[in-house]
This record gives sequence, C-alpha cells and structure tokens, in this order.
Amino acid sequence: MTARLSSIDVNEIAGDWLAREDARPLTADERGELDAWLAVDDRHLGAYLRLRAASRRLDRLGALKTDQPQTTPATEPPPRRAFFPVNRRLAAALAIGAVFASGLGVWASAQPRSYHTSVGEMRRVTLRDGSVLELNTNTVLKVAYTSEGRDVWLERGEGNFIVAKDKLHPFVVHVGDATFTAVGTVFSVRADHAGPVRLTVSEGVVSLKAAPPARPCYVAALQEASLQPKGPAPQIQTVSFTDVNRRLAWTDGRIALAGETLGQAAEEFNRYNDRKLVIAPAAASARVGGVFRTSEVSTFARTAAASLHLVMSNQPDGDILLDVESGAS
Amino acid sequence: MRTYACAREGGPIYERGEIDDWFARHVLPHEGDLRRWLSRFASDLDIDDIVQETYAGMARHYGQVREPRAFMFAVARNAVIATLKQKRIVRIVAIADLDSFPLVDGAETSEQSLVGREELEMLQAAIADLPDRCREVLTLRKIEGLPQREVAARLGLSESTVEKHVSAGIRRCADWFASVREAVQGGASASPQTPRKRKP
Repeated sequence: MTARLSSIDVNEIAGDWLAREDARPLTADERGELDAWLAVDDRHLGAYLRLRAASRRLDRLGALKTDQPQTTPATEPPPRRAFFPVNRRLAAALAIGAVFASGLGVWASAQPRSYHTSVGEMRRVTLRDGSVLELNTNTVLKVAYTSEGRDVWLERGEGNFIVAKDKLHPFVVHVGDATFTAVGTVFSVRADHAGPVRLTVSEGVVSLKAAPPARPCYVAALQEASLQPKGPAPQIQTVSFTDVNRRLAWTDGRIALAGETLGQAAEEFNRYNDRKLVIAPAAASARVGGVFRTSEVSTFARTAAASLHLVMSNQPDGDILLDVESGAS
Repeated sequence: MRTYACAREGGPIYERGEIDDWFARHVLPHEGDLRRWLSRFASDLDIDDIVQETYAGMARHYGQVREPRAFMFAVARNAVIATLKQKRIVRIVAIADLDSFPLVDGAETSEQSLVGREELEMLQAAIADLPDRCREVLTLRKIEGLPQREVAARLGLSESTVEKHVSAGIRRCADWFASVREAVQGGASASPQTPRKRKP
C-alpha cells in the first residue's frame, strides 16, 4: 500500500484525472490506473466525486447562457465576486460607517485615535471607510486616516483587519519598524510578548516590509508570515483554510486547539484571563484538541484534568495548577 | 480498506453519470454548512479529509438516501469519530458536541431554489473568481464548449497546460460552491477557500 496522501494532494490528483477525462476518453490502461487509485482510499473516491459534481455544475453554465441571451457575452469577465461573504460584510459595515461619518464628522481630523482592549476583552470597530478592525484581548492600536492613506499602529496584541478597497488610500499596519500594506484584503497581525510578529492573510495579498531599507515581500491568501524583530527575512508558509479559521477563532470568542501541548494551550488561555492556568512541567507536553470559550479556563482545566488524568488544584492567588498525580512519574 | 458499492449493472458507481447530478444538486450545496459545523467541532482534524470521506460514504449509499443533507452530516460525524479513534490526540470536547449539527433548519432546500438568472449569476461569480488564464480556459471549455485541442490553439498553450488549468479551475470552483451557501445566509466570517498549493 502506498503512503497516505494529504487531502490537498488527493484533491489535486483527482482534479488532474477529471481534466484528462474531460479532454478525451481514457485509454484502457488509464482507466485501470484510475480505478485502482479510486479503490485504494475512500478519500480518493470522495475527492473525485466531489470535483465531478462541481464540473457538472459548471456545465450548467453553458446551458444557462444559451437560455438567457440578455446576459453579458461569455468572453467578457462577469462582475467579480458577487457572492463573496466578506464583501457582504463590508457592504453592511460601509453603510454603518457612512452614517457615523456624516452625522458626527469625527473622522475629519487626522489626529490618531486610539483603541484598546483589556485582558479577556474583544472589540470590533467599524471605520468610516467601512474597514473593520477586530481587536483581540489585551491589545492597543492607533488609527489615523489622512488624505494620504490609512495607517494603523499595532502597539500590542492582535488585530484582524477587514479592509475596504480604496486604491488611493493604502491601508498600512505598522508594528515597530515593520509595515503590512493592503488594498482590499483580510488579514490579521499578532504582536504579543517576545515572540515573532505573525501575519495571517485570509483574503487578497499583503505587502510586508520588515524594516527600512528591506524590500517588500508579498504574502497571499492562505499564507502566514512570521517576522522576528530585527531578525532575518520573514518566513512565509502556506496554511490551510482550517488553520486560518482556527487562528481567527478568537473573533468568535473561542480558542481552537489542534494538538497543541498543554503548556501552549495554557499560554493561550492566559492571554485572555487574569486567573492564570499553570501547568506543572511533567504535564506540559500532553497534547490536546478542541474548541473552548476564551473565558472558560476552569472548564478547560477540569476537562483536561479528567481526560489526561491530572490533578487540578487552586492556588492561593486564585491561579489553577494542573499536575500529574502524585506517585506517578 | 473498504470497497465502494460497485460492479452491479456494469461497472463502478462513478461511471453512472446521474450520480454527478445528485452530488451537484443535493450534496455540494450543503458542503459549506458541513465545513462550518466541522470547523466548530472538529477543528483539530483535517476537514478536507473528512469531507472527502463523506462524499465516498454517501456514494456508497447512493440511491437509498432520502434526505441527503441529514445523511451527509451523519456520514461526516461517523468519519470524525473514526478519525478521532485513530489519532493520538486526546479529545477533550465531548463527542456529544457532534450531535448538535443543524439538521432541522434549512433541511432540504439545496440549490433547487436557485434557478435561471440567480444560478447563472452564481456560476459566473465562481468563474470570475479564478485567475485570468484559468478563467479563459474554463470559459472556452465549459461555456463555449470548445474541444481541448482548440482551446490550446486559441490561447497558444500546450494541451497539457490546458489540462492543468481545467484541473485547477474545477478545484477552485468546487471550493467556491462549497462556500456559497454560507454567504447566502450571511453566516460567520469564513470566506471561500482559495486553492492551495501542493505542500512541498
């Protein structure tokens, strides 16, 4: 039996088979090869059938086109992203932003405005152009809109930025000397404690400039870049849609764990709560998964203790300690 | 390793063209909801794996399924449980969470409600979201219905390049379709998947 392929590779191979079938009838040898490939793993068959369904659906487009001659000719690119959910959100945000802008005129000033969240707090701010800032726990950022552009300084913490398109006014997030520049895109930047600054792009492209005089590099949707302060060039890696969702679980008030160590999980909870979770070194390397509310640290501790056979105790200062059972090594 | 229900009435189930229609009409439109549910309750697993397993599981019961949406969630749930058993990660969210899937709401609506112009717009939007070359290829292949050879000649590409674009285009469109229902409902912040590169 061959090694198990990743779901991405499975999907790609399934797509290649489908494209070949679409072009011409398969030879008997190819047919046999495809049948064997489909039989070896359920996921192969599933991916293949799923893409066939999508292809069938696209075939409908040709049929509908002929039914409805009043629509734009096929060679002309149709309007982009009519159903894009983020754009829907943007449209709503834009409407709200416009009301505030006309009513109050607050944003006419170029004076930076500051937003912050305390530990455990999350906040969503709609700016006058319809862009949305989502602030995670313990975050400080400043915003200045001028005739030149839209600048945000992330001084501490983590923000997710849903940027309204405006080519004339670049949207730039500054972290120290580094800049992240977007035109109509969704991305988040995390800059807490001593670790690297992490950029996650959900949609579009972000131009990252480590510090002058560094040259910009481009980070696209479903990529992540980490940047060491004063370190070498940013590291860029591809991430899955699921990873991006997990990174953004906080916008739902949740923490999504996927096999992190208990120590890492505690660090994550401790970002959101004054009541800290302390893990004894002997217990810190157990791996955990699941989705939790950011505020429910004691629920997490209780369930982790129960499923990993740990002892949970309350410390005099209110912190929670998880340790291996005494007598165990 | 399991085998798929096949070898009756001439060949594997996937050789019977009507199954593509069934998946396109009754399964694909619910994939966005399924993924959203999975990312809530099985975020520690590879959701694409589960989705692929789900399609295969459904194909095995093709022709016997009355409520494709409900069945899809049930098959996915079983795939999640099976995968959890194989993994060494200790799962500390109760399996009971998995029973909270949205069976009742929006039961069997699927894309039957999408007709004519609406469906046309959706398909156009899916195609519009493709990179330029990929969009040209798919437009000529799928809308104009030109043979591959002619598409290649017209765009000055090799046939194998055209094939690559068709493959990538269909994959992207599948992801696009899988995300649309969520958009229609104005659901959570997830945006449609863009295609991924093969891992190095």
